[in-house]
Amino acid sequence: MNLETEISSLKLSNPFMNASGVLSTTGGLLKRIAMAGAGAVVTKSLSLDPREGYPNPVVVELPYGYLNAIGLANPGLESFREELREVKDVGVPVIVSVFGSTVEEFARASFKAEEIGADAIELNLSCPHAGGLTSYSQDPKLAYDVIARVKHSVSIPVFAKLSAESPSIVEVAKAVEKAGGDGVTAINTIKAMYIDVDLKRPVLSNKFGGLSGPAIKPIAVRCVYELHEAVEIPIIGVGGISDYRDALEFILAGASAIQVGSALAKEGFDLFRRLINGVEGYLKLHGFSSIKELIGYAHRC
Amino acid sequence: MHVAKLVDAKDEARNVKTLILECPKIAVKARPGNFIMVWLPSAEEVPMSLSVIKPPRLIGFTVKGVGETTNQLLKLPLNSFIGVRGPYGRGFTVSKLKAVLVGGGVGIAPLAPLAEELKSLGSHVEVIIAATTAKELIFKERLARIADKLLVATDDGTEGFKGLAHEALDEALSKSKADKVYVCGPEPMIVKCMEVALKHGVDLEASLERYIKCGVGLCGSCSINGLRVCLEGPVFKLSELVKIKELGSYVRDASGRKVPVTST
Repeated sequence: MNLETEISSLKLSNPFMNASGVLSTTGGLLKRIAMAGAGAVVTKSLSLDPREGYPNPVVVELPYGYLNAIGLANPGLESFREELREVKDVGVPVIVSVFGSTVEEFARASFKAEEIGADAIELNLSCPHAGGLTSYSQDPKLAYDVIARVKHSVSIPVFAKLSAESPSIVEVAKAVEKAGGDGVTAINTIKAMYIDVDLKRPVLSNKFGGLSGPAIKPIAVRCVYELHEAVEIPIIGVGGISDYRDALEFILAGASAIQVGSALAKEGFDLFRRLINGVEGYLKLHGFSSIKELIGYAHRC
Repeated sequence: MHVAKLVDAKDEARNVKTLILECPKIAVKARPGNFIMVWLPSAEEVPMSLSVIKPPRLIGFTVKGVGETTNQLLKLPLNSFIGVRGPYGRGFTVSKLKAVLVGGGVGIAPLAPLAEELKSLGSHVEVIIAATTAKELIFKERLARIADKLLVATDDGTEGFKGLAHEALDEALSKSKADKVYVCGPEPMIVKCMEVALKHGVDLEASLERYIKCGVGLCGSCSINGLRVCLEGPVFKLSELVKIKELGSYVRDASGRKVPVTST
């Protein structure tokens, strides 16, 4: 069974990778993801300068997912050079997630990411708990500007991570494509809140956070389906994928690759092996020889 | 997230208290070596090793005032309600054996429920508690009641053995071999105790401390050589510890940058 897939010029031995932010803050963790069988790894979102993030509590465990407001804590791109070296040895593509607060910062951070060894860049245009940073995924014009500027600064593929909370994720994706973007990742976490009834206040120090996990999966599948009808560039599907059947749902909707976040934290690194075995079994059972035959298959009906 | 009531607070040393919480959901599940995330709604959420495990209702942790949240915890009035998550992490492995427990400073705290558990299994338990000076020693009476033998060590010689914890351990193991050493305390002390255990051919487990944010293995903030202290630790076995290159050399700050290990 052939699980090979491509996102732009990036060739992956299988479609599975971690979602940015989950187990991706150090080279040691990224190396474990790569060694566990992932087709690519994605770093925590990095900025030019280090960032401490929000004070605890930063995570709430819910029966249907996680609510988090880590606040884009990261050691900065330069410090990450050494971390990347650890994972580069394994030989799987490394996607560096970057963010900035202006178009110019996005461009400088992306340039830096390529310089420290990124094989591709994922622009975090849509963190739901970081002040004004979400605006880039809300407005097609802003998304166009940032992608066009970043594409001018780097020679590696550039993907844009989008939000389901945009007025139209489709219009934003079209702008990304028009600006020369090489792919879109959908979807980021969804802005949410949890209030402790006994203590009578929001639990996260930032009050608002991003919801991930099974709760958001149907929304993510809808987005991927819509995007597949609207753009030609590859789609990386993410949002509540816990097992191989969830992953297949995204692939049938139009995703060329898959990211796992909450489930990876909950179930551990073996998840990659289970996803690979599950999809292989499915391909065999349903008479397909390659995962590529299934991308967007659900649109045929 | 559970809401727990503060039902008792006991002074252990200057600026150190043990807070007892009523929290049945954690009390019935907790094991020695586990930790909880303690959330003081007016401040922050901090990780705390369990120093008291009394099912079916009570748990406790021992806190030293080192920052705003811990200082507020020391002043928390009885019957206050706070948020707690857990129990989290992998605890100590226990069986009937001849054990030496080594605790340094507030690192002594999680060894108390461990000593109780080991005794209940019929183990022979020797405990070494160490601090910079006599006034900083905690749990002396409590451990004296539980342990078969209690040895006190202070860096300045104000009480008991004058010297460092690993020197006391070396002496103890020279006198009488043990099956396993359990350690909790400052990281340089853990590294030294590992060297002593390896020299004597004795097994060891140690509880490590890192910057814990999520507590559930999601964020990677507590990562040490790719291992998550919150989920795959905080207790690690000797076979794992010897492979951790970062041990005793650096920790990570809130942003994830590497900073050198300090001795406290």
